[in-house]
Amino acid sequence: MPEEKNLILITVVGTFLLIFLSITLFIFFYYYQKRKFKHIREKQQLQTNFRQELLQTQLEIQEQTFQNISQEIHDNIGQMLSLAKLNLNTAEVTGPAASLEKIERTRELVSKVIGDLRDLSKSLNPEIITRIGLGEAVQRELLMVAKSGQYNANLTQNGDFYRFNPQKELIVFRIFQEILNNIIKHSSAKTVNVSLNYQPGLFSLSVMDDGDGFDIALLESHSDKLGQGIRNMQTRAKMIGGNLKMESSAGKGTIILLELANENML
Amino acid sequence: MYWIKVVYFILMFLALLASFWGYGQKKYVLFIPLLAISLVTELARDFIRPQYPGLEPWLDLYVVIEYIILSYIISMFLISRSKKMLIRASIFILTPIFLINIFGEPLLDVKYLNHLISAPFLCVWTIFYLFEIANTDEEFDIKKNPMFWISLGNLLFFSGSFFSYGFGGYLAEKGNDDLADTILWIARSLNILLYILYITGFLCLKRKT
Repeated sequence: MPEEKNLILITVVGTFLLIFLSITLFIFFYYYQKRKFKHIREKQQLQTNFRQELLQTQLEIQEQTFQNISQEIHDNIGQMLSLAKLNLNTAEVTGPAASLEKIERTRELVSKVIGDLRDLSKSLNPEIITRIGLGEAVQRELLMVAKSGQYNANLTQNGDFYRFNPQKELIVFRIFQEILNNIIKHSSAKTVNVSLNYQPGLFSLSVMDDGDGFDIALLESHSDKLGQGIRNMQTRAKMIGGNLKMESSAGKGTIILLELANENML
Repeated sequence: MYWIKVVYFILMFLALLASFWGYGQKKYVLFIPLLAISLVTELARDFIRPQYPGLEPWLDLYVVIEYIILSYIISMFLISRSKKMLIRASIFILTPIFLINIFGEPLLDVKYLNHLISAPFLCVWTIFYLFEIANTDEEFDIKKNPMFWISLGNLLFFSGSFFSYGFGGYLAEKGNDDLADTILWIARSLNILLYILYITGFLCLKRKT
């Protein structure tokens, strides 16, 4: 009997010990995994924050540079060109008709340069963009493109107009400029249709061209400047809580849609 | 103890039904034959064996099938190739030993010898799986992971029933059937826990699907 009692005791104690060990092991692995995942998530969050701050700084530096260039064009180059135009206007010219015509053409050229530089200065100046608002800035930009005579640029605005955070408007405008720049440089498009949609819960900007189009996946994987440009646009859109979608295929033009939900506009 | 037996059979049947949520999923589909064989074996052990004592070795085949299927299932959940290979190799090495123990000359004259051999291996394979989930970089949600509950059940059952089967078998060999039966109730209770955890796991599978 004592031997049997011992056997029962060993069985019960041994079983409980093994069960206890098993449960401990499970709890340990489970919490270890949880802590590890928490650590990974914190690390990822830190990296994301760092990237965001880096991008924010880059954007601030870029805006500051644009502001300086704009100021320089307006205060210095513009002034000098205006003076040159004044001189041309007031110069007493006596000579052959051909020379007179040349001077007249030069005066026209200088006037055009002054006008173009004024537009450029305005489109670079972040203060002007934040003052006039996104809709007006986009319209001015399209007018500049249309003035070149090479593009048919159209703007439609739908919904009840509203404004949102000026900094975010500026970033949306810079994304739009990048899109327009890409169209001019790479697409061989003839028509650019832009629409600004002010829906109650959602703002969207869509840019459609009838250019060459491209393979999006291929381009995104490229490490060159163009691929980088697209990634930059996407990063900027993400930074303001927006969503940038692209639809394109070779020979069929491109549609780029930027959406920004209401809660991200503040 | 009759009602525990009833609960045991009901749980086995429910686990079998619940395992059908894994139908069409490569990693879980093998639980259906495993649980079906388990139910048939237990029913045969209780209702047919008393009339046909010669059936005993064939019923012991369940331990072999259980080891093969469970080991294979665990190996499917592992990422490490070497551990997968080790587990699958163990199936080829241990299966002949199990069969010799049933139909030939056993290595040791101990009852439930095959269970005593397979249980520690299955515990180790389960711990391999736990190591892998501990090292995964993705968020691990126990509500969405059937294998977590199934592994918990396996580990508790195979580790907890080791002493029970060991000493139960020893006492049965010595002719002390009453005490052996008492000790084996520990294993039966753990079996109930195993099926409850299996059902919990399969419920997660339903949530997933």
